[in-house]
Amino acid sequence: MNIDWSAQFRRVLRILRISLVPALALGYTAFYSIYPSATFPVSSDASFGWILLVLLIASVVGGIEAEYLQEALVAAVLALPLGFTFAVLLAFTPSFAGLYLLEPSSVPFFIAHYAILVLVLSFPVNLLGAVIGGLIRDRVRTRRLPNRLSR
Amino acid sequence: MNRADRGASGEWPFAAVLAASVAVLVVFMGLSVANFVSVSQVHASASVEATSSVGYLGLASDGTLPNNGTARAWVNVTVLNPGPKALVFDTVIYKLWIEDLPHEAGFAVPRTDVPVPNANGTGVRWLFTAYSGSNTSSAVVVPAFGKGTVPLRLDLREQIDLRAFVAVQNITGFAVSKGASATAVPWELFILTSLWIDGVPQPTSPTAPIYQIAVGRLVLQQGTDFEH
Repeated sequence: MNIDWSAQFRRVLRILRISLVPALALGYTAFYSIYPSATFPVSSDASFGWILLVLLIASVVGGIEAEYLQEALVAAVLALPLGFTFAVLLAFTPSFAGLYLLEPSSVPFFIAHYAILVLVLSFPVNLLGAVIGGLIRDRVRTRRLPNRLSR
Repeated sequence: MNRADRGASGEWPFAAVLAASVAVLVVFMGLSVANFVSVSQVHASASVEATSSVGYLGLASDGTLPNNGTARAWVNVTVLNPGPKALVFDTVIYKLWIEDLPHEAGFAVPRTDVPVPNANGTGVRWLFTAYSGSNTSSAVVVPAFGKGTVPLRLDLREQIDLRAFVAVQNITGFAVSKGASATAVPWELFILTSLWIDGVPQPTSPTAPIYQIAVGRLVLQQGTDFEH
């Protein structure tokens, strides 16, 4: 069996690119949900509406980027660990300046504990967004195709 | 090149949406990090410097404190804030102990003192709590990269706290009887103060975790609370 490693590598890169936006959104919203008063936008309590909006828009963008639904779904799953990693990195940022609000070794567990709702919520939202994104992409393409053919 | 490889790269509107989304999220994350780091900076760098002095009003001609006299303590609680966010004083808890010289000299005293080991660890000092209380919501502001002070003037009279006044009267009287002045008696100060970080709202949800309250609240301490 002949495997085209170059094509596989490109495929992995493409999935990573598709999952980038949902992962960034997950990292950001998880961090925001933990420290709503010390992040952006500043609020006394985390806004569920804001979290849902950011996650949904990001997952739709990810879905638009995907060529196939299967890719979009894989990217939606991959966004979970990537997003968690982004959230942990955000919580670590003060330690890069030598400042510690939390014991560094406990940061991942702290994030996992207090952002569990956002992490769990992101999974179905990413799947839904992937489907919606795919529909939008197909619609845009079918509109553009007649234009191209008429040239 | 198959269909997937052509992918979105060949379709600039999709790539533009992706780039714009990444840019917006990176900006959100950048703003979040900037705010979070500035709050962390305040937590890490703010410090308290409290000073106290005790004077006696209406001293008798022999230097003792009469029944109608007043022991007045001036406590200045200064918070130094090298951080980029302003602070607002919430509560200042203070305790001032007077060294119970008659007790240390071996006299039986009718009051409850706190034993504190000497600095060199060889003996025990006996301290009496003369002032203990708190000052809340003074709302004094400590500006960013600045300092702010809550000045406290604490009066101890017979009418205010008989037990403490009598103790201070006895201790200062003992010092005078030994040829020293009343003001020469040593005092120990303990300060515990809390401040709110300006621009960090407190959670309104009753189920908010404790750490969310702690993020916007700074607790600073000076001295030792000998009673704990």
